[in-house]
Amino acid sequence: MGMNTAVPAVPAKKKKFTRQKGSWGLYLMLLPAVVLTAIFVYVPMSGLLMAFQDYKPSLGISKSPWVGLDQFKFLFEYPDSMQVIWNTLEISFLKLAIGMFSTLAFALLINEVKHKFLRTSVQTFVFLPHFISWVVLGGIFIQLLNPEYGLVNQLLKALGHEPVFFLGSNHWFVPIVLFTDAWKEFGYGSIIYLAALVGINPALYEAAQLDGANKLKQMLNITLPSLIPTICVMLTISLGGVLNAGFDQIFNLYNPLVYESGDIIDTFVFRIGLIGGNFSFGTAIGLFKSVVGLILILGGYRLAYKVAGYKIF
Amino acid sequence: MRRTAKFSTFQLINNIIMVMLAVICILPFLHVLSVSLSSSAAVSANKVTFWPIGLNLNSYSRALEDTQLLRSLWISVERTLLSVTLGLTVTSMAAYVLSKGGGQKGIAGYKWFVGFFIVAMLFNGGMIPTYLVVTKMGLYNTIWALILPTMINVFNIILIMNFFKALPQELEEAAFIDGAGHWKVYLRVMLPLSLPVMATVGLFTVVGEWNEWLAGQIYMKPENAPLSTFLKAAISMPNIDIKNAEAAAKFNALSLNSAQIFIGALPILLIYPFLQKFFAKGIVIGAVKE
Repeated sequence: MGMNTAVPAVPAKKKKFTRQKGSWGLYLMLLPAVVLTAIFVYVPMSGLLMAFQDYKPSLGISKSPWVGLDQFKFLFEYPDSMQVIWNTLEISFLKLAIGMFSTLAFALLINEVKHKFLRTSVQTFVFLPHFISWVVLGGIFIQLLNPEYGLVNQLLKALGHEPVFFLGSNHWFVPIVLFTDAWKEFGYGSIIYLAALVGINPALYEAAQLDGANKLKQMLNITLPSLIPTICVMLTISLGGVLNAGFDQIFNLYNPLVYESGDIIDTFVFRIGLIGGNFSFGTAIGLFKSVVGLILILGGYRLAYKVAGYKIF
Repeated sequence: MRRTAKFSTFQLINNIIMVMLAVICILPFLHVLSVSLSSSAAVSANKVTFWPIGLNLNSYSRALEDTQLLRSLWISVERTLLSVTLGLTVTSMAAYVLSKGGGQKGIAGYKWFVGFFIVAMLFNGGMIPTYLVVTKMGLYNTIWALILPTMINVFNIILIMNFFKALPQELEEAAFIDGAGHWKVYLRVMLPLSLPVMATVGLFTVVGEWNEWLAGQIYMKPENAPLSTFLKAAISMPNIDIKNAEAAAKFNALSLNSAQIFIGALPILLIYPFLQKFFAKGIVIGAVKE
């Protein structure tokens, strides 16, 4: 403490009185947030004990039998769960790569649009899907991709192709998930890069123009390198989310036909754990996911700090 | 950064690509809107693309005849309003306290509280333990199950805290000298000055709460489900039944479904202009730190 070295102009007694009164108010202001966090985040953490039990709702956590690491053994022996972990990683990494590419490409290109009205109206439209829920978008895409009346299949038929049941095929489901995710987020995701682009020194472009560099060369040699710190931060931070392949999206698009290719950890926990009533197994998978996720987040932040000096707090 | 406005092929092609991307982003919405506004004859003949044929509002009037939809709509409105007001109050109060830091100005145990929130941001019990806590507290099938568990978002606390920190300290000090306590400073000085960040967080909360459906599905009985949960059920049903249904009935269902989808998206579309104004600002507030 002892940071305040200035000599107080007010009598010490009076100042002490106001501070005491004030800090009581401060605790009171913090109280609701602390209580809510304790109840809805910390109390459930104690529920993680279920992962080491054979939890029976009638017995509760205090009386259910302990089984040690059996649930985790089961997790790694159960073929479905290995498939689910693989699906999660596959979908997640592909989303990351495609998302990074599409947002970056869009940011670079929209940044070159000089017409202000065009620029803002394009942005208005491409940001919109980000704010619409996957429930609504799921409904829209299920309609568009329907094999009988979906617009996409109408087009395929008109071009002389066989209609495809996109959302019922293990071959097509993942590409559809990747495409719709990129479609939803490329515009909004570009904001962070656009903010970084504002900071580039215009003199660099002027010098490059004098040297005869064309648009493409300017983009590759000035714009892109200037974005590298931002790209590094975004990549390292999204590392923490690789076990979140997008519950909302998948749950709203999938159906039993594509469990094989589309089931991810979160949908699996929901289906087997919550709906199937297998609380202990579901919690064990959830815990596995949280621990790996935490390690990745901390590793990612550390990396982001080292690479680009990024700090969150 | 003003450069010569001379015509270039790159500019032209780039502008065309951008317009195409914008179009691709709204075509799906346009299609569903058109289907919902078209006559069932046109819909069942697969004639509707991006413009309504045989314009009518039948599917909307049918969708709104459903008392369950209206009830779910009301629950969504109630939930969203309560979440925004309570969430902003609780979050901004916490942010005010944390913006003071530790030491003489802030609270004792400041670091302990920061750790408490950071851990809560990074780690949680997961879906099933949280479900058990919420149901054991007797919140099942009450609107509070939709509101309380998500009311504290640590990221929002950080966002508002950083905004408070950036406000000129002299204002606060002047108020303290005039004899105001922390409550008065928070209510009369900090809140009025932080309208941009409060609007940003508020609008994000509105969008998040309006769109959220899972809590509505696991914590509420179907008759008390919010609109997005109702919509989720309405959308997945025809997906399974549609093959067996009569052609005509099926395509009426399609029209009705489109109307329901559009009703679900409408509130977001209505607040989108306000969102637009604030969200870029919000992102920058969140991303750029000293």
